[in-house]
Amino acid sequence: MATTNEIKLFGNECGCCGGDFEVVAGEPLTLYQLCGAGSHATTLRIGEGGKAKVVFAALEGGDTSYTFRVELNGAGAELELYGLFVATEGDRCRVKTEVRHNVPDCVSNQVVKGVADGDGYGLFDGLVYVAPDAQHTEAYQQSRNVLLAPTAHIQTQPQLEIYADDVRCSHGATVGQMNEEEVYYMRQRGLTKEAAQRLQLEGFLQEVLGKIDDEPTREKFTAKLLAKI
Amino acid sequence: MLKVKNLHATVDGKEILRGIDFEVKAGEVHAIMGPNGSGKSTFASVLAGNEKFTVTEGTVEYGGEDLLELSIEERARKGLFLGFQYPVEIPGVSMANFMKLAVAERRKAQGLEPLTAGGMLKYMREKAAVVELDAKLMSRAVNEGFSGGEKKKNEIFQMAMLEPKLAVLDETDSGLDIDALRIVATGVNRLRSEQNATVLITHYQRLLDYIQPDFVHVLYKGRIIYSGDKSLALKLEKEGYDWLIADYKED
Amino acid sequence: MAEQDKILSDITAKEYEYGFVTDIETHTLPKGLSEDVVRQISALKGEPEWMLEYRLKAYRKWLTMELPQWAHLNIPPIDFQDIIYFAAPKKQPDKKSMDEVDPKLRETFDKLGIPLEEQMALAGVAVDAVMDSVSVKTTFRETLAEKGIIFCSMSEAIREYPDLVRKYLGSVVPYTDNFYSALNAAVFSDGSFCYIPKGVRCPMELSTYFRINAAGTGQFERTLIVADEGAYVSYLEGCTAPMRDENQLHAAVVEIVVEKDAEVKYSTVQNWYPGDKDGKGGVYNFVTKRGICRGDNARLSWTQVETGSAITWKYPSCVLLGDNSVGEFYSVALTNNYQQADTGTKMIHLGRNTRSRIVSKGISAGRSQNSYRGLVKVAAGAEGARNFSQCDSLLLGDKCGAHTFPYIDCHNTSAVVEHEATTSKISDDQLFYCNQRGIGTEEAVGLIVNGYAKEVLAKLPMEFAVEAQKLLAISLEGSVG
Repeated sequence: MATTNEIKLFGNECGCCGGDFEVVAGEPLTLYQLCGAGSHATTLRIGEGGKAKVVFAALEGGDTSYTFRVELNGAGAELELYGLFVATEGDRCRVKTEVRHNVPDCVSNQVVKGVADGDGYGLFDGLVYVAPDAQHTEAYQQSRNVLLAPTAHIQTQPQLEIYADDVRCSHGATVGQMNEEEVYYMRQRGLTKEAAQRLQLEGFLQEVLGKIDDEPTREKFTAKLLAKI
Repeated sequence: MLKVKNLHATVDGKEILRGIDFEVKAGEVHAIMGPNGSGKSTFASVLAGNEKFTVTEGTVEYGGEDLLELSIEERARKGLFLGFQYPVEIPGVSMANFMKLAVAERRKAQGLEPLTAGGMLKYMREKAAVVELDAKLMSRAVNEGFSGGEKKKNEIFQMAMLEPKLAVLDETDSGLDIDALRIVATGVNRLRSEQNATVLITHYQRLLDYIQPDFVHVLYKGRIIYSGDKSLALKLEKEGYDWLIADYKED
Repeated sequence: MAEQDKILSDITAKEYEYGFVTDIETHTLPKGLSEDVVRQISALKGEPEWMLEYRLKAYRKWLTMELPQWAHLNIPPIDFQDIIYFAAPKKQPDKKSMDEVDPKLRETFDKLGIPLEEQMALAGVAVDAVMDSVSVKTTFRETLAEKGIIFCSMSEAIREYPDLVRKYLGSVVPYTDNFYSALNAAVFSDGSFCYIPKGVRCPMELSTYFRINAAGTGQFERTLIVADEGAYVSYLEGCTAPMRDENQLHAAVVEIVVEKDAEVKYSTVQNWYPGDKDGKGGVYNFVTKRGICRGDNARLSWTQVETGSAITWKYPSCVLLGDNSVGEFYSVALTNNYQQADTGTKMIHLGRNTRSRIVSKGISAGRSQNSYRGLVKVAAGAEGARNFSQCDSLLLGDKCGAHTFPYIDCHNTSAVVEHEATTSKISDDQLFYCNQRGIGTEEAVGLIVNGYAKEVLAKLPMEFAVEAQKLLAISLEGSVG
């Protein structure tokens, strides 16, 4: 059994965040990142047979910019990248991901969920690059976003740049709002509108939070999220 | 318990309910029948306070209060339960968490202490058993990936959890096989008491084989045009609505 | 695989089917662009002063502008002083019937298989044929005139309907819009003008066939379509260009105005010379196409099948200003050999309950690069706006590229914008299955690609759909391997 390196970066506490990581076979990396203020970059280089999972949350507020750059450099390298960002009043939050499939036979999956409220602005700018001859690549990318207020603003730019043919790549992006039917249903069962909306928002972000296996870390993320919304 | 007088309601400016008079007393079971598009579901939605509909005229009194003045959740907390025809899926929100909140609100309104975590769990298991709902569904998101039958059972399960005074079940029987129908009916019958009342909105008299109504009403073009006892349902099943609505063809 | 390679080499060796040159004397200005050239173009066309002023303003603006660099394209430097900006067939007396048309020209159209003569009456198509830069003949004018429909060359419209032209020209694509729209406004030679009056449903498909003919001539058409309140028109644009060794620049502008309750369908089949199998020659197609749904309930639909040009830079767009207006974009873009395409659309939602739909099918083969680029913008006031985009890419071969660049910019809480994209190849299993049932590889690829593009092809008018299917097959032959 390989031991998983579990690294937790709580940028909001230590002020440091981001960093460079090399991932090799037999030592899978799990990175939980609570993004700190300002801007920072996280780079992962995954070698042959290496596996990495990243779960990040951008909840710090203010003017923030985060970059996640992942190079898949050896056959069998796998990446799971899950993230969420919430931009409320006064926030400008930019999340950029760049996943580069440089060699054949690698897998990547990205899910990034965004919420903008008040006059908040959120940007997802994600690139999947598949190099020439990087055959048998599997790359998936999802950007799901919700606008909660009339002055909120979401931009999403999921991009595929593909130079090999025997690949399975897809991406999807949505910008929408919370389903009113759901709120009505919950209110019919006695929840206040606010409670229903909160629950719904948690539900929306649950897909990302649920990827955190470590209980205390998940609680930390959830607490930070609840404080934010 | 419920007094509806001359209720008119519109959606997108189109009048759907056009003067409903309807009264329910504690301990009674009413069935509302009628052809498609007669306004049955709209009536249920208006009682629940669905904001898609605008009440333009009439009054609704519930437990001595003006129901129309209450918000959706206030109505629910005061014991008005709507069993949805198409229960919505709420991704990411677990049944357990959802019910915990809903039950806490209901108990608060009833002046009861909140249940402990253990008490809640026990309570949920107990009620799930009533409708033979797989307890595993509790850890899933609300209605997400539930089969049609599971969704309907889930509605009755929630009804059992919230112990309503007035339950309005909107086509809860539609799309159910006989087994599921029996289970749903058993659930409804078990919850029947002298203190509460049930309004069944249905298309078929089939459900009424399992749940005996005290009164049967026919809703047509937004009005209750005929009321009778349970024999009316049988007559409708046999003869259809034509003999009733012939007089109402003209507007 | 050996067989597939053979087919590939056989087909790519094939000469461009429409690559012949019509030998007609042309009136040509010398190479290069200056204020003087702009004045000469205007004078040669006998234009009024206001038109010259417009051209000059555009030219001066153009001088200050930069070439757009953001596309995923590798464009060799273009010497704008090495281009001929005006070439017209000499002697242009008004013609009343086909008999008066130069037989050489008619022959050209026959070679292209355009049913310009009697067949056209049967096909119900009126053609405003553009040979190089000046309109040669317009048919069915009388039928259209009865309904009050104006369908003529742009030059004629400037002379005959100056009020309409002044009202709408540049109202959707101002000359300040981009480098090529400014260039077009300064030097456009001709094009089509179409006006459908209030409440009129155009009884036939209106069609223009463009050809780039004279060597080294840049072609700068200008098309303006106006559908007044409650009007309807379906407009077809088809292009074939003869083979040339040097690259030819094409920078057209198409503007469409759709008023309240009106509907315009604009269909294009573009198969200009894509260059040879080594990437030599071919047309540079830098087009600005945009329509505006000005009134409530207006509808605008773009359908394109792009198989030609060495480089394509084209984003037919919809500005949805009127409440409940609808914009649609259906595209098949096929690139082979060294072709490059960066194409897509912009849907700008401004009005309430505006809806848009984007279906893009990219097919890359050979060493080509094929990009979808699309913007969906929802303004704060666009309550209830909806967009759905489906952008698929099909890769044939491992030397080509398929790219997807959607931009979603949403300012409204009640809007729903959805984008989905997939990338795939024709699987060996699919080919094996077809082969096993006795269908040759070539034919199987054609079948699969046509199936893949079906949703878009189905949006084309019948006559076009057939041509488009043939084109896809021709452009793809032998590209599997």
